[in-house]
Amino acid sequence: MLKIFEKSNKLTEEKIRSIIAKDFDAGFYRQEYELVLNGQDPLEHFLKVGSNEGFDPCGWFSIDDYLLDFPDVSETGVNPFFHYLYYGRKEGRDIKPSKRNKATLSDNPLVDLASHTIDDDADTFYHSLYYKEARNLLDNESFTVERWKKWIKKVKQESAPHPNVKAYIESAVVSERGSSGLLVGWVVSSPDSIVWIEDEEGTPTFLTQAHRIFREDVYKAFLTSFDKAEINSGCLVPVKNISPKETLTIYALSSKGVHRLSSAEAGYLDSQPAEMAKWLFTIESKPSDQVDIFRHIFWPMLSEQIARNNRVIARMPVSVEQYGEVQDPLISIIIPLYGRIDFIEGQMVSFVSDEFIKSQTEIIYVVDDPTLVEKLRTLAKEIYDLYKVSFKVVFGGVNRGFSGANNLGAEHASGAYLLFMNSDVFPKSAGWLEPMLEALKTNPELGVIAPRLLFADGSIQHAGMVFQYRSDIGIWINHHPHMGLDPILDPHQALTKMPAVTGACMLISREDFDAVEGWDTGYLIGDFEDSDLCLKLLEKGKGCGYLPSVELTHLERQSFGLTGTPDFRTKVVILNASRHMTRWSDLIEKLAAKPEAAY
Amino acid sequence: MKNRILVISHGHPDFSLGGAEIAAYNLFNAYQQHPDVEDSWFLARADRGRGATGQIRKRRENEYLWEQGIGDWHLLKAEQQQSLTTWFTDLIQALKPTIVHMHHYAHMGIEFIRVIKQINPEIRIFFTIHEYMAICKHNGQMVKTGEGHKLCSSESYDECHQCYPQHTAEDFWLRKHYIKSHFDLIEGFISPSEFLRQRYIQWGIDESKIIVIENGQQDIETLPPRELADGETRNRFAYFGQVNPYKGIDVLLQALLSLKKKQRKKLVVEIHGANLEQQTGEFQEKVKEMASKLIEEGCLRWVGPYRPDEQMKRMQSIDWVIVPSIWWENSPMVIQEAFVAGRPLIVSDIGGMAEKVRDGVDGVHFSAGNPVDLGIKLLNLSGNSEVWDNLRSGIEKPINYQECALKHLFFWGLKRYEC
Repeated sequence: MLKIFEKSNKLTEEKIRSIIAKDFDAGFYRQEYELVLNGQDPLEHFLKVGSNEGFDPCGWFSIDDYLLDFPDVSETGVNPFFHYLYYGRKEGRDIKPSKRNKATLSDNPLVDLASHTIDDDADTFYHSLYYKEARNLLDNESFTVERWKKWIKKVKQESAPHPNVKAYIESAVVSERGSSGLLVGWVVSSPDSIVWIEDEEGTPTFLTQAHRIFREDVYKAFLTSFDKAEINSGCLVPVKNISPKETLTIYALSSKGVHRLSSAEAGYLDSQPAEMAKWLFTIESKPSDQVDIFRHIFWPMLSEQIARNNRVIARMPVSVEQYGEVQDPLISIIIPLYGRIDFIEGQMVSFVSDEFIKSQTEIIYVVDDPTLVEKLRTLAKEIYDLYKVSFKVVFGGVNRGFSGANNLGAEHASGAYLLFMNSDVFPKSAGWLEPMLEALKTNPELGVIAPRLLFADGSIQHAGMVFQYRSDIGIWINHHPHMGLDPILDPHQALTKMPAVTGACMLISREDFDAVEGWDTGYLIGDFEDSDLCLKLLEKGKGCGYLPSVELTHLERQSFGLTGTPDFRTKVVILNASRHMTRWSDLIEKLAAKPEAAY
Repeated sequence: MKNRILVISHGHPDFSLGGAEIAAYNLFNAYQQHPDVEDSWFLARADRGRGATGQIRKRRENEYLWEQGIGDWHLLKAEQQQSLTTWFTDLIQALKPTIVHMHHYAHMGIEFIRVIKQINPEIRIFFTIHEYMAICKHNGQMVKTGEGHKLCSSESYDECHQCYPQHTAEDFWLRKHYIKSHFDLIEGFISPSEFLRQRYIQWGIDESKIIVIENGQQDIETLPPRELADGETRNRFAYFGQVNPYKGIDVLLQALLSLKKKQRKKLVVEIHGANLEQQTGEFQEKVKEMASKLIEEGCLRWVGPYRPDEQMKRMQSIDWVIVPSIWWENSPMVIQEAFVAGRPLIVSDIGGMAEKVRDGVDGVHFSAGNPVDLGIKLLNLSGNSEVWDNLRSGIEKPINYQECALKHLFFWGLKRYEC
């Protein structure tokens, strides 16, 4: 010690400056401490102020680390950087970061890690320098990732297991075409722990941004630890700007330094929305957590892909084939075809005997199934030759879904009114469309008219729709009241305003349709598009009319229960319901609270 | 005010031909024809091949099907809970029944009782009990689980736990507590037999709230006796119904095998039974093995299943009907049908069978589950036409559908009067 003092006494300020100047990185210093410098010369600042404040002279040397590792240096009062350059190097004082924790996690992390109980040294941590520095950084309004990256470099890499944080990455994925990734795993930690995920560039995503869910398996494995730890140990962390094969690592800070907890390479996630959803649905969660996860984690990822898909679809070539001639139609009847085309003839036998349909409307079939194109070409000719009812066939290249197909049909429609009709809806007799048109024309407060639809057995399929809250799942669903009853038991026997009506058969004016920009194509596969359209109209001040005096037959589709059937289709319903709710919960709640006033 | 009656059954005879659903459906039809009834409907649980969706569909005028199921067989809770407060509620609100006459809750769940009362506490609920489901978790059979099909006479939490080790005695207390709370909402109970009535009184139903009304039968002339050829005796016996281990078909076959071959030659047994193929492999094999030997000898004819409208024709060509069940039964429909046809019965001497068939008056009892006793009785009866004539003349004609409906209306009217 004394020797050092003696030597330093011989050193002039000038010599110290020149030794430091050789290794001083002015560019780095200016960039890092730009605000503090305020125009001063970086080297001057470092020598006079910076070194005492712990400002680093270059990217590779940390003043704080050096002083922490070698407390004797701080006692000397010598500039630590100079100390290192002039003495420390020769004395073998190692400033290089310790090697990263290479310990591999066992295949069964729960069993393995469960054997370590968490030491309660939280107090030590909260009083540690690292914690204070990290908190200062994180809580600072001017926090930047760059600052964090810079600071973390100075923190010692600790190879021992973290004393009270356990974590494991179960999977990490990123879509092939897109930068949004998702990390799935669990972290057992107290709320004040500092835990983050790093990509290969060292960019951190903090655990505070994770969506936390309860994990019963982890809870049971670490039962005794959970009196200090957050109960929801499961983590779903959206990670931005990563690429496939990139390694993601979870780190946690302790009083001793940075601990590497778990790493995983990001896998490919199919960017086809339905395939992506299929994978996402494999992430286990409690039913009550599902809607939150769907809204906050899945939808941002899916929306990106659905929007991308829609942009591709919009550029697809469209073919149109006209059978027979139509002049100045008043109503365009738009019928998407998917899966089956034999329904066409079932409808045609009704259309052919309806003079209003034949003289005032144009029929537009939208082929929404590439496998039907060839079959339909043959059938269309046969049907036209037999019935001589004019129609148009539009094919948009790919499957566009219910909304996309209907929108495509509307693009090729010339009527002032649009009737959207499912291919499995069949008129019972002629004269069904005129009363619908009449109801729409004479009730300007209505934006859409839908008839009563009956099952093949004659019982009610559609008598208007209402929104019903499923508190077990936390979503509003579209409920069909009075379904299955004899129509004479329907409490509505005349035109009635309803919160929503079915899209299986609805009449809307071209003007209103355009005003709400048509059918929303943001849902996955299809659900809720009809109520979405109704709510868009409602937002513009137009209600939905249910016209029970007009009855058509609607054949039954496969139905899906919302509980007890954990299949893909059920989850899609909940997924779409969560989007529907995100868009419309205010309006729906208003409808539920004061139904008669709101619509 | 005239009654508006909704009959609820766990099955529709269009799809399922159990005694309870047939009885329920016949009552529904009888209600519809009665001048004091404004309207009546039939709601039956059905499996339409797509599982319990919770949805309701119209079957035909005034008839509905409900795709419901059981989600919890211990507490008998419905699978589609959501359906109770939506479509089922819509139906009750739309039909506005004054009386709900339920015949079961199996396959539908017991909650609908509470739901009906919540919709309108004025709706009066009556329940015809066809089995012992509330008393016994073992399919309402009151037969112990495990080997031997031992009969059980009353519920006890500890004994139920022994039958179902996975459920504690306390679980059985909870089960009864839960079921009973729903039964408390029911105004009156109807039992087709005194035997079943007593079991439920023992279990906890107030005896003033439960009466016996026998199931109604079709109103037809008694069939003439089977014409006998010269020297022929009343030696044709027949079994009608499901073929399952509780129905004692194996007891019947063993009874035949317990006789000497020479003795067997004196009689013929016909099996008019269905659903053997749905039973366990072991039971099927046992029955088939015994049957094949007897069929070869000619003393057994395996006639197979029949439609309800074929039954009387089949009864015309036999003399006796055998009901050899090894469980208590309630009021087996086949006993009443045999009485309609004028055919004396040979039945197990337990439960509903012993009650409905009077030994030496309109039939003969044998020791339940005892093939030797049954064998001797078959042999003796087959050679004695005089006994047959006496027993036939002792048969009293069962009540018909209309009389049965009237008894119900009287029960309800009386209750209302008391209120």
